[in-house]
Amino acid sequence: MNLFEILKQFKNIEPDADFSATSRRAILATEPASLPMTARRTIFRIIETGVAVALTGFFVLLITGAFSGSTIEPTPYEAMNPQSLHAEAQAIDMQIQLANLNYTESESSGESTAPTAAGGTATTTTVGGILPVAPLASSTPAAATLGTGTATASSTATTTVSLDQALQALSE
Amino acid sequence: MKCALVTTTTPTTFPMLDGEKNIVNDAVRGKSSAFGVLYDHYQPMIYRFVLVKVGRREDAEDITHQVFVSAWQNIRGYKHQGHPFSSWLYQIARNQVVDHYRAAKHETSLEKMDPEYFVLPATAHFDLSVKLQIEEVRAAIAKLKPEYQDIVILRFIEDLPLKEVAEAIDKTEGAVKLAQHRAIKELRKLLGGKLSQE
Repeated sequence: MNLFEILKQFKNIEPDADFSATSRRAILATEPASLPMTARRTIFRIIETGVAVALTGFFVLLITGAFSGSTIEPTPYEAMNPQSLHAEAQAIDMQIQLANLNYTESESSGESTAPTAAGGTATTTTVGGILPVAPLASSTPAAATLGTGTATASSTATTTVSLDQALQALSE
Repeated sequence: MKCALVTTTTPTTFPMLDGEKNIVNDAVRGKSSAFGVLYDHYQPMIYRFVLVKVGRREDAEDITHQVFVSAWQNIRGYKHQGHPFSSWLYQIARNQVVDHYRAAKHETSLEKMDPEYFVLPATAHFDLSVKLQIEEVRAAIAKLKPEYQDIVILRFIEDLPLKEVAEAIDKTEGAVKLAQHRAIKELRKLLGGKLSQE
């Protein structure tokens, strides 16, 4: 038998049938591994995600735009109408005690009084309508609790005016 | 487990599978039945390739199993480039054999062992004279350099055409043609006058 004939005999060698069956079963019982994340695949994945997010946003805008009509203006809200707001403000019965009005009137007399916590008044001399605190505090102990800012010219009577009247008076 | 030997006079041939491309594509998509078909077709070839190189049946079985485990685990990365699927399997098998010898070097020196001791049980169904001749030739092949081993096994045992051998070992056809003459010459030299020169 020459060399090539002997080499041909090698082809008759077969693996054991039991081994083949066991090996086959063991291999096919597993799942093939997924592809490793290469740089190219990573970049592609990022681009893919970005495009998906952009398209989602675009379609959301498209859908919401279709519901709100051709313009992107916000829906007019009745409560935000300036005219209705003004009317509503007029309807409110505002009772404001504007003691400052009387206070400005009292400037001419050069005196101002401040109510104390006990209900009394402290009379001081003012220059230019500014209340000096120190003399006030020394005049009566109760005056130290001053803070309401209510001032009267000669009496503690208050005047009730409407909002428009008050604004007009202030502008004068 | 014993290695079954078929003593038919006409050796079986293993051409490429019909519709191999589709089967491979199915396997790449993770279809285990498709990979099973590839396993059935190519496993004997890979087994012989490994057995001739390592000599020992148990080692050949372990390495063959590992080749197909590795192939299945990496099947998703396989790209069909016109080469037969066997080329890819042979490349994995070559790497596994190298790894086997690298690992074995730390355990024991295979050089000191008689290679006949390992391969003879695998050839138990041959006549004694044929068995001895097979073992002599196998031992001589094992002494060739790895590239010549691959060419002798693929070209003269498996009867693969030059083109497929070239693809399997990543050489040109011309280089394989030249190398096969050198390999046979080297093999004859190693065998001395033990075989007929017909």
